[in-house]
Amino acid sequence: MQCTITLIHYNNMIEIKNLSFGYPKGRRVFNDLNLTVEQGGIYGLLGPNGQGKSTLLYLISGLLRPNEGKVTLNGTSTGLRLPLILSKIFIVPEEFTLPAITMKEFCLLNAPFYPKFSFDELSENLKAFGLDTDINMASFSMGQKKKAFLSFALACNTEILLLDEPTNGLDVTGKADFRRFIASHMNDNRTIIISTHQIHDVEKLLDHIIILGKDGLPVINSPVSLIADKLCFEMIANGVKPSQNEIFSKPTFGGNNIISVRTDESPETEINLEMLYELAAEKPSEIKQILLNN
Amino acid sequence: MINFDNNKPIYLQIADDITDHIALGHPAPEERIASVRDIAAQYQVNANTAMRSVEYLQSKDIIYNRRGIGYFVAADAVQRIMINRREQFMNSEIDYFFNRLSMLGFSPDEVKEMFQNYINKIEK
Amino acid sequence: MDNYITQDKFLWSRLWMHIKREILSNIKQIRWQLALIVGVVLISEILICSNAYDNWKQNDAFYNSAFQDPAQVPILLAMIALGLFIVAIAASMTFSPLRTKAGKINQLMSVGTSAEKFWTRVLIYNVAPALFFLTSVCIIDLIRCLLVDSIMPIKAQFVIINPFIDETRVKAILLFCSFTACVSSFFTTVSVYSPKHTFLKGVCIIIALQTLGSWFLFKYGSILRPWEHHLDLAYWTALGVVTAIAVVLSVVSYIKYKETEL
Repeated sequence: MQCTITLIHYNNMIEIKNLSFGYPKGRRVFNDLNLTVEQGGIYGLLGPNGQGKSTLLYLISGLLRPNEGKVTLNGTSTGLRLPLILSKIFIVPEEFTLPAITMKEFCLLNAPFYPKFSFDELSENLKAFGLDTDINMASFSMGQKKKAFLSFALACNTEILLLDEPTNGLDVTGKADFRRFIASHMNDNRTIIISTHQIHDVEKLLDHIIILGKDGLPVINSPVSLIADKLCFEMIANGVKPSQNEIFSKPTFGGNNIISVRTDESPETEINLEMLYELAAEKPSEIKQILLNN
Repeated sequence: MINFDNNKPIYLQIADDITDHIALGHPAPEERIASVRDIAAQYQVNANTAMRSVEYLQSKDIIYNRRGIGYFVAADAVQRIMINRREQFMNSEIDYFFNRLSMLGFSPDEVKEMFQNYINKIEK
Repeated sequence: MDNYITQDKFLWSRLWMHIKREILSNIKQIRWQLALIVGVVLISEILICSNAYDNWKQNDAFYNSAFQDPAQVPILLAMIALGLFIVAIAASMTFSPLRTKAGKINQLMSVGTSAEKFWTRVLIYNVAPALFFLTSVCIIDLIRCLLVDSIMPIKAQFVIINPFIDETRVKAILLFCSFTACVSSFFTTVSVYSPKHTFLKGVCIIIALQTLGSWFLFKYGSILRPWEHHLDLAYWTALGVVTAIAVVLSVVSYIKYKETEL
């Protein structure tokens, strides 16, 4: 007798299928959205404010439930808010409150809920941010609160980490600390989704870029490597003849920033995320076409 | 504040920075360089980007890998860096430089004279 | 042991972790609230005592061990009113985290089943205040009794009447407990539907219901005729109805809590 066993190993994959969602008193934010976020790496969810970035994060974490369609992690709907799934997702919202206790007490009370929590990592994180564990958090500034919560969030080692506008409220040093922090915490077992409108704060950290359009559907949903493969980002000085494959151009000091379709002769360039973002806003169908033509 | 050049791939810019330091002697040949994770943190970039820099340097034989321990500066790293730099300059930077010269109307003879003057000046 | 704590069923150990976290995270606030309860009980007792006993020096001929303690009934009444008031206020705070977005995120994302999170809040804000109040009253009144016995020629009587003396007392206490549970679950339900200004809204609803109820009884009071001569039946019906309301409201608040979204 032959037996076939099929193992469906989801690998901490987030799957959004036919998602439709609208707030009870507002407009429809998502209409038949399909999106897959695979394990490992740092995803950037970019877009202007009010377009649904935070809403998407809330739907992924189960804080909101879809009107239609499904949002699942490892095949289980996040909206069910089952403890197992909750222990795998950590969200650092744009605004949050910390209780009026010390960081040490906070961790002792909250860490036991996360099986992969590491106190060693927590100490490292707090040290990297220069935070003292014995001070009451009620006296923390906004920046310190963010750093404290981020330190805790990363030490939980959840498979999914959602950050909503993480650099809001951080000064220049704080933003650099944040980047260093995230850069040193990447690993294959963790997926980090950073939602932000501050493109420059995170652009060099990203593996994968998702840019939502006005209708809530993704205009761009590609790995950074694919985008760098298909497109060329250059600054053409004034007086130099532009390339024939140019598809987008914006003036800058000394010349123009251009995006062109990459050919075999084109050099490999670094993505200019701000340009890409503007291209996605102005010519969404064109960029979709280019990136989907594999 | 890390100021990245607009066009050149980040991984190459990071590789340049690392080779700058190697050329100045830190780390010295046969010494270990920072781990990929530390490089990512230092330059505030994605770890994959840092990995690419390291792989690039390895492909140019400026560093070599000792399994389980890390990456080490090659014995002849400094010479290789010079060779690599010349290659890079010839492939990209020189075009931009010549473009500016021609736009400003310099002739090849004028350029030769300027360069000679410069060499004389630094030799003093 | 690693993955034990992330099981999808109700876990007593995890419930305990939630309770501990809830109490210790808000320890300052909770200490204030407990101190407030004790303070209010204390002040009430002192005020009533100073009023009830103020004639004892002038008319000590009247006061001997055969007379009843003049403070007992006023204190009992005051404590009943105070108790209900405190239970109502505490129950109004049951789901106060749901007032803000940040609080909601905190509640909904914490690792546990909805039942565990629900019972954590209910135990701390419904059950615990009532028990603490009862304990405070007992202790403070015991002290009063000891003081009164030693200072004045009155035999002080404890505010908590001995329930086992006769059946009427047992019934009264049962009905009162049921009624308290009803008040508690009522305010808890209002809290889950409207975490902002819960107490105020609850009181308004009660006033509205009372007005409606009074009008109804005035017009259709004859509906109560069947119970007029069967006080026993009336009692058990009332008890049943009050208990049922308490249970139904608890279930309703749990279901609404489970359905909460950001």
